[in-house]
Amino acid sequence: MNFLRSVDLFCRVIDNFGDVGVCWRLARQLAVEEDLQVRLYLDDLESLYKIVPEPDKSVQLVKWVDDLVYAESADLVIEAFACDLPDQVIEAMKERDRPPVWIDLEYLTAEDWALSCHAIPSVHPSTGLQKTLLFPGFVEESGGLLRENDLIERRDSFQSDVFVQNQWRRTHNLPEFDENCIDLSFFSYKTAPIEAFFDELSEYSRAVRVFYPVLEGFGVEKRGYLTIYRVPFFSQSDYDYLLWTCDGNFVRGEDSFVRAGFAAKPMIWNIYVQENDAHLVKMRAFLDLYRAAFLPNVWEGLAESFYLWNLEGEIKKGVWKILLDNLPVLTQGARLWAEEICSQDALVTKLLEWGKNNNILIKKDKL
Amino acid sequence: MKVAQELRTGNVVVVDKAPLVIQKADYNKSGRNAAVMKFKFRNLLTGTNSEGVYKTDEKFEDIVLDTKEVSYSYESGDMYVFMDEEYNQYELSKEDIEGVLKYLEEQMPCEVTFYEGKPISVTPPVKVVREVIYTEPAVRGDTSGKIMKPARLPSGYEVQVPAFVEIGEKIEIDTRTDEYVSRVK
Repeated sequence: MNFLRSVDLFCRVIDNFGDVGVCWRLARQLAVEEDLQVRLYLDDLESLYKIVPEPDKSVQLVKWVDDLVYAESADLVIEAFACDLPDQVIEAMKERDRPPVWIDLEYLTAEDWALSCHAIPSVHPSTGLQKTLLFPGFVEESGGLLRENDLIERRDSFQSDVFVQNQWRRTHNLPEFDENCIDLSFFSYKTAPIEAFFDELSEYSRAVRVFYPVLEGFGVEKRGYLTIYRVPFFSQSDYDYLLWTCDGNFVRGEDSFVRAGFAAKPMIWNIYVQENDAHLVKMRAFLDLYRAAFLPNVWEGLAESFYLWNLEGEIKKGVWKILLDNLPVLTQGARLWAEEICSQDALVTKLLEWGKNNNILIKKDKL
Repeated sequence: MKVAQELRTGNVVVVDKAPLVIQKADYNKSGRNAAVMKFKFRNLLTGTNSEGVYKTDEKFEDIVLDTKEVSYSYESGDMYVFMDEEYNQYELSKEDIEGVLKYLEEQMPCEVTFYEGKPISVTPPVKVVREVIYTEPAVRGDTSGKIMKPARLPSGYEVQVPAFVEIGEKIEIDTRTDEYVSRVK
């Protein structure tokens, strides 16, 4: 058994902000909430600074370069999203008296097969070390979701105080709360039918305000009943406030999608496109879980919105109008979903429990 | 050497110096076009069973053993009997052929693998054609035919098929990945 005092987390930024977003969140939770020494090895620190402009010092950031010097392995080594550890890291792991616990943190999916593959210690064929793939997920048997200890308390406090929400909005050049307007946050891939969506919102019977974080081209655009606020990217922590203050959220990939679930507001998910439409199987698996939180009379409209948003080239009028009409009822379902995923242990808790139960990793202060 | 994705039920690999026969190999697509393999192994020296989950590009040392073309003949108690062209019979347990059971039907051609003269596993053909005995109608909201849905085969195994596939139709399946290939007229 290893005593857990230190963690090395490796992450390659492939595209966008999902990888780095998840890894920073995990690294920070291990450092701040579990009081561990955490080194985050990133090949692209600039991507981190875009969503975490001032990383706190709780995590040691290390630029992952080809000739990385890696003298000593941590007690726990996490390879994020199968990023392939460099040879010098593997060698250092083999040299330890007791090899470290080696985890491959996999992608989030609601598919059943992930549960059957989750947390099975497997002898690595070329090194002889033991490596375990952990699959995050939405149900008890899965690896759970990343969630800070105080997240829900902070969310409830913010959502119950319009004054505080308006104060936050002013700081980010967003209009104040207006009960006559529907506010939506907007973060999607370019494959979604964005223009058709905006066209339909512009003809809706009420004012709709879309808060659209972009890297460039800031400004306000008015189209009929729709106003689009193109605003600078939010930091990871401010993005939560955006999700919490809106009436509905359009999210994409993994990290923003999980956070939107915790926001307890209706969401539409733009899933990362994969070969042979594998992403659509994953979306369906998620919808099969998500539907339990919603009343049948609004579910079909919500499911149809998910499909429309993710089937490239699909145009169908009227779907978004139904979604907006149903927002109040959908909000009740979104709250139930948030309660459901919050009723389970978070990913870090599950990871540490798994280590303890398998007698391979225990925190020193838990002896 | 073979990468995990190339390994199939019946192959033998060396892990931690032990020869392991793959009794079951499951392929699943993970995120961002990556995939993982889950293997059920039996240690040929000790007889113990184990499982392992690997990235599909993980490299394994494989051992080439004697094989023979056979066809599935019949079930006898807990044993499954396969026969070669000379009518020699080879018995394998349910556990030995766990990964093949979902496709097994009479006269199905297979390949038996031997270790020290004893049959240890069976490899199915790369592609098989099976009838869909149950599948739900297409989901509302999908007008593209891109959404997949589960379809049950006569063995009870479920495979993902496009929404247009209906009950009673025959489909071709790749047994390496358990994926739908096409409809068969």
